[in-house]
Amino acid sequence: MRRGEVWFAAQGSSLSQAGSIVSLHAMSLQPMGGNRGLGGRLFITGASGYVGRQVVATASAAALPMALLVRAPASLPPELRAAVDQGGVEIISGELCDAAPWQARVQPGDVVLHLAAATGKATAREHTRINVEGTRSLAQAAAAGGAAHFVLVSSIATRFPDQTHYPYAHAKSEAERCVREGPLPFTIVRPTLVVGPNAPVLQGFALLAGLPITPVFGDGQRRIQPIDVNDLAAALVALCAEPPAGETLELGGPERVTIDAWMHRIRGARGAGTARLLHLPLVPIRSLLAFLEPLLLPVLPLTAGQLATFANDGVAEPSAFMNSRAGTLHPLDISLTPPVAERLPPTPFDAPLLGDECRALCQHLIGAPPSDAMLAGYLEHHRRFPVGPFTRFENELIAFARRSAFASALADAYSVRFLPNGLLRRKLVLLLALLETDPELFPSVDAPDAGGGAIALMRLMGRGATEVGLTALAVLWLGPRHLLSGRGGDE
Amino acid sequence: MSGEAILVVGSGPSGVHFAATLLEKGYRVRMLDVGNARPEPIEPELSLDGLKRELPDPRGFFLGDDWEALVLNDSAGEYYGFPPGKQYVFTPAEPLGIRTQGFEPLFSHAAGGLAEAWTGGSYPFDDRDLADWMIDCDALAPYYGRVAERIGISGAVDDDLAQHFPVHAGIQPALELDRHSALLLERYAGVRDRWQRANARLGRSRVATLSQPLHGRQACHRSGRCQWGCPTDAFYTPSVTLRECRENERFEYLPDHYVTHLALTGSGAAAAAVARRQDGSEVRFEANRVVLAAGTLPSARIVLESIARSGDPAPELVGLMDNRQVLMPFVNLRLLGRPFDSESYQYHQLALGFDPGGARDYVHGLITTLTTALVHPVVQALPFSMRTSLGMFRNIHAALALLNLNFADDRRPENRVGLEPVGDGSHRMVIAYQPASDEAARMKRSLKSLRRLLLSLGCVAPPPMTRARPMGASVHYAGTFPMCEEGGDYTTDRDGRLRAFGNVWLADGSSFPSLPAKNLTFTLMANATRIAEEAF
Repeated sequence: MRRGEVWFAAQGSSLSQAGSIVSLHAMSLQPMGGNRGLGGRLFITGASGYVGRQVVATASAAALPMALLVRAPASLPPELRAAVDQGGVEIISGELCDAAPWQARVQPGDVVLHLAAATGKATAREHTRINVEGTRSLAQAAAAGGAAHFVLVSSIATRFPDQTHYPYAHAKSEAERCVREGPLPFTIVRPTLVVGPNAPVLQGFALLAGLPITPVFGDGQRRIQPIDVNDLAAALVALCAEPPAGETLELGGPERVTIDAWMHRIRGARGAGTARLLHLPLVPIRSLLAFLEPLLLPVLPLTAGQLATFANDGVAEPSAFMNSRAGTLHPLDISLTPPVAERLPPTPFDAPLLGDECRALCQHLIGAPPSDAMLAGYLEHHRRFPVGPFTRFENELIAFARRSAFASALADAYSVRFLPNGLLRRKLVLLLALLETDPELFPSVDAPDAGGGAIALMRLMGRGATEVGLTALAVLWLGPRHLLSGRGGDE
Repeated sequence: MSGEAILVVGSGPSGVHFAATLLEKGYRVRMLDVGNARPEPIEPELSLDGLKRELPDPRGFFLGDDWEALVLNDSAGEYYGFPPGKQYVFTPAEPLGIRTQGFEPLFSHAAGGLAEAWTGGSYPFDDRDLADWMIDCDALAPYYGRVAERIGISGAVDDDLAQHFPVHAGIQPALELDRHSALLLERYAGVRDRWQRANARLGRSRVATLSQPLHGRQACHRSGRCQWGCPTDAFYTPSVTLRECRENERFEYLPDHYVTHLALTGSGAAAAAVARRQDGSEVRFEANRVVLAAGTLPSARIVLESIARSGDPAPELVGLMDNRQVLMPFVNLRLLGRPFDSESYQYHQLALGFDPGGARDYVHGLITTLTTALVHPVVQALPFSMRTSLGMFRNIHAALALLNLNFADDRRPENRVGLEPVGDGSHRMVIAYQPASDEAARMKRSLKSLRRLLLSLGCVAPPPMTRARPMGASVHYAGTFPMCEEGGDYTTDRDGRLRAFGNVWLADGSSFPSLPAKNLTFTLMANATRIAEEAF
């Protein structure tokens, strides 16, 4: 499914030329009048984050002058680097909570857009330090510098009735209070769940939705209203150009769905069928996580607080502002469609290395070495169609498989579960295609084992058991390396 | 009855049978076609395994010189690697631009058209299938018979399934069954009451494959090479009829002529067909009567382009149809661990009809016993490591089969074909398709019942392996200029005459007012024969 195409279909457009999402949104911003409402620059914190990067891209497309407060200017994400290279963007190096070194860089008339926040698995103390103290420090610096408008990006979680074990929500509520009681005219924005290409929150949900049985914490009937990162960025930039609202605006997407429906939609957007949901009791799991967090926070897959999404309705209060943008919002299914994965550059053609690889993989596949014709075909295909892996770990996996037939077996078992579209499996498929067309070896992909009937069934079961054992071993052996090199293959 | 030549555009199943009928009536026929020729079969006497053993480069033959039949894990999921020997059917790609939404069309410039890559299913429509048509089964029956006598169709006329297929002339005895199909049919005999209670029937396919010699063609000798191109023409493709037409001195075949549009007179009739050649030159063929048989989408493009070039805005044609296809692989438990016979007829020998009762609910299924298809696309689809999958596959190879289900379609306004300008004065075709709102529910109901019915035959169809193919993949396109009693400019009369132009006939699927689940190719041939017989 191509994003642009479905967008038009969902808009009920006639057969007009499809455009890219980004350009559509740049267009939708134009009526807002470029920097018409901005007296000064956009002073942005958290520009390196998921929403921040999109905000900078949107503001850059509208040619708005910007100042970005960043901790590590030397390691800017490529998108920010591109915006900086275009000009009109000042990079200010500094820590949010230590305003003294950069305070003087705030200019009169600046609109401060405060996106920086501690999220996810930060400790309660970190949440307080960054989200509360950082906001207070920024607000004071902004006031001292003569900023005209302070826009705080908060969270819909601040009004969850059930915030059990959720320091992020507490901290964000406190940050809102700092801004409300602070010296500057303000607008507070509470986005709902933010989705879009490579959205961090979506990766977590996609992992759950991709399982054969999808665990859903609680009854799955809480409602959410996810907003596309492009829409959120466009709305934030538009709000910065407006006079301070002096109030709190909640920003949500075009659809409200239950958690259960959300899981089905995520699977659907990835081409899989309806999810099989398993509802798990929320309260004991939250309690267990809260109990484990003090000791195991770094290794836990999620926190007790993050489960608040399953316990509360996360939908936005309607507002005139969002109503005016309704026609420009991305349909949910578009936001959920994963971006086309991009490959890393291929490794240089190395015939001896590929020969070793072909022999190890063939020995693993059929317990015999490849024929000369197969070896030649294997090399020819690699020479003619060099492709790189999606992640660096795949190169490690292939190097591991090359060691021996047994290493190949582990890598094979691992790749079918965790990298089914990856490079190692591609090589195995190629080898299989060469095997089945080999003048000598083709019967090895055709002939059944001796016996037949009940014996065949027992053999099949034996193969299944071996597969389970190999998979377990592969997960233990290769899983940690994979995790260390980038979670789930999405680097 | 010679005189002026009738101009026919396209050499697919509609075009060749239209032409053959006119030739039989004594007309002169001039056929314009791109006409990519089928490569000569190599080593016709060798079986499939023989090719693997004897050819100097079997990899090149089976996977292609450019590896085009290799199905890798990161390419779109199909269970077949398309045989390199049939690539000529789909290459080169459509030269004029195309933009699509929800539809993935295929085009062919082969002599013989898309049906050069068909699988031979030849199922006459019955009265229920033809409910929306201006003709009934009795009116079509003689033409089904006439086509069958030309091309040779084998199958049963007295089994359970035959009730869905009207009997016509020219049906040869059914082909010898392969072992797997025979077992399925044997098992069905024991559970047929249960099937019939579920309104389902299993029986022999009707296929355009000779079980007896016909017009100089040999009967099928079960080399197992069907998918790779029948080396003996026992399996019919339209290029066979084209070859026969070309032996007639009143037939003029002009390949390398890609018809872009019709030049219109001031009164809106067609004055000539304008064709582009590979060297870039444009040739104009004057004609008083033009028959478009280029296939539903190319014929639509020609008509729309003709209007656009005449200075009027091209309309948007509504009602494009195609059969949704669902592939349901299954395993016959009785054949686990058994050897398979690669020297057998490879396309479907059995078909099933499932009829839950609604007007558009009849589902037509074809059972293919997958023995000599490329193995690697199937093995990689198993949910295990490659070694385990291969080990399992070797033991289930003989037990594997594929049920290819076809669902009916009807004309809906949201499914459109139009033109849009691309800047330099030329246009590209734009196709938009949305499935019916109840399609998913209908499919789900049918698939559930069919899985149960397969289970009664001792066969397991794992749900994760069932795949709906994208719209456009079945290449059963129809419905852009529907036949009706009275209608607008872009409809046809009973004989396929386009009301807008008056002297242009649509002899392909364009004039079908509905699309039953049964493969349409045989009806394309019969309907084209009918039009040639009755309107000329």
